[in-house]
Amino acid sequence: MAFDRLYGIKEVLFNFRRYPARFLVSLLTISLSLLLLGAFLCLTFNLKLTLQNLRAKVEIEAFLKDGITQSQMEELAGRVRLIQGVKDAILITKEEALLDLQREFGKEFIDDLGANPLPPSLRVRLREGWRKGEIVQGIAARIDSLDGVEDVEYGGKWLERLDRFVFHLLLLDLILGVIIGLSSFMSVSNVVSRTFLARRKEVEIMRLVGATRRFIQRPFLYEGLFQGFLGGVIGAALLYLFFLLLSPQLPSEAILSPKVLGLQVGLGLAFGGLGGRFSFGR
Amino acid sequence: MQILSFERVSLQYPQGIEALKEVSFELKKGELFTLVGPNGSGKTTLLKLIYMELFPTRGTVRVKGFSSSKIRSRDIPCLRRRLGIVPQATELLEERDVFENVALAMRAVGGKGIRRRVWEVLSQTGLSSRARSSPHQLSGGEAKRVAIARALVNQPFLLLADEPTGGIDQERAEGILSLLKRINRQGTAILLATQDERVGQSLAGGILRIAQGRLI
Repeated sequence: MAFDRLYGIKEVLFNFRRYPARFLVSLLTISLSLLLLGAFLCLTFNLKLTLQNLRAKVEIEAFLKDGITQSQMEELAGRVRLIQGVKDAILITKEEALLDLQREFGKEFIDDLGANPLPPSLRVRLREGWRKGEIVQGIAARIDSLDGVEDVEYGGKWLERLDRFVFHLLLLDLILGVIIGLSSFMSVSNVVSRTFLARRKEVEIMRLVGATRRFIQRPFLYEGLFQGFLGGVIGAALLYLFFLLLSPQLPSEAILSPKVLGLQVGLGLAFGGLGGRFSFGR
Repeated sequence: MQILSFERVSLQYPQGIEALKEVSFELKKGELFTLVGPNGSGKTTLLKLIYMELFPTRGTVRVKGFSSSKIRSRDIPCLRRRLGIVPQATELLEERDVFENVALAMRAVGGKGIRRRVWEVLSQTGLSSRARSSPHQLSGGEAKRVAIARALVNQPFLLLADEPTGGIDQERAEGILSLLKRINRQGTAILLATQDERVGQSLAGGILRIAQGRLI
């Protein structure tokens, strides 16, 4: 077994020295395929982040009855915090609500109002994973049923539209992901297969002299893994470079996560290895 | 001691073509046989049945302890390690020199003492001075010798040679035949397939004649 491995590694190095042009063309093809895949992953990652940020803004505003005392408000806030999915409930008194309004519309507007018409309220923040339409609706209904609550507001329509948009976007992303992932895999696998076909004669000789399948397969598997890994590293480096070059034109929130780069290298390795195996199987 | 036997072996390809019909013969240790027949008579098919690249549709091929009706695919490499196969097309790897072409056969089976054994077999086949030559620098006869050296390097008990004198001039063909006779005298059984009747006469071993898939 150790001999098999050593032979496999020696053969990979021998072939790189023997066919440098073929190796470079293969590597370039693999790198570009993985660059495309990496760019897509980066886009998906940023999309997910944007959606997360949008969802983080989802909150429920519970307007309380006029005349409710401070201690009743605090007790109510405590009961709301106990509801599953609630992260926090911040108490906003009539005065604080008015100050908020003043900040937004100016002092003159407030003076025109005369008496403070704003009710006290609770601003309810939700935990991650609890910010989807139906769940928010359920929590809002529970808060609405509590004594002392006059009305609840949670932007139901907006949330519904967001949910629909996210669903379609993720579906599109998934379809694109499958297409790009498959084409990257086929491209890497095809490059590895071409290497195999170019050395079919060698394989024939090996078979005739009694080499085992595993022994014959090993150099191709190693070559596929090596090319895939190196292609992944180059693809990741190119993606990083393009990201740096394009970052002035990108939104300030856009990031290139190390996870994406790692995934690119990992997928390169996996595609190369699988390509080596499949080409041998064929 | 019997090392090879064909027992009423027939082979029909999926398209319905019957390549071999009721072929029976046997080969003993150290024997030399020439299989003579025209193109398409079934010579290469018969050799492929011996190294179990093909399997009979009827009958059984036995090679030492291996039987075509019982062998598992994972055991086929074990059988081939004990055979020496010289294919019709010489099939040398252009990017490796003569030494490496021969050594590959030993490396592929994890052989020990590769350097010593390869030099030994190159000397036996008269190729010592060509060890570092590339295949494209060799004559047709030398290329055939390399293929024979590669087949011999793992010390087979049976050498199967498919048209080893095909495509080379008379003088070089005689050189190949005398090499094969020498190999046979050292104890390796040989089964040689050829279209040329004179090869069989020159080798002075047994002759099997084949036509349209039948031994005649």
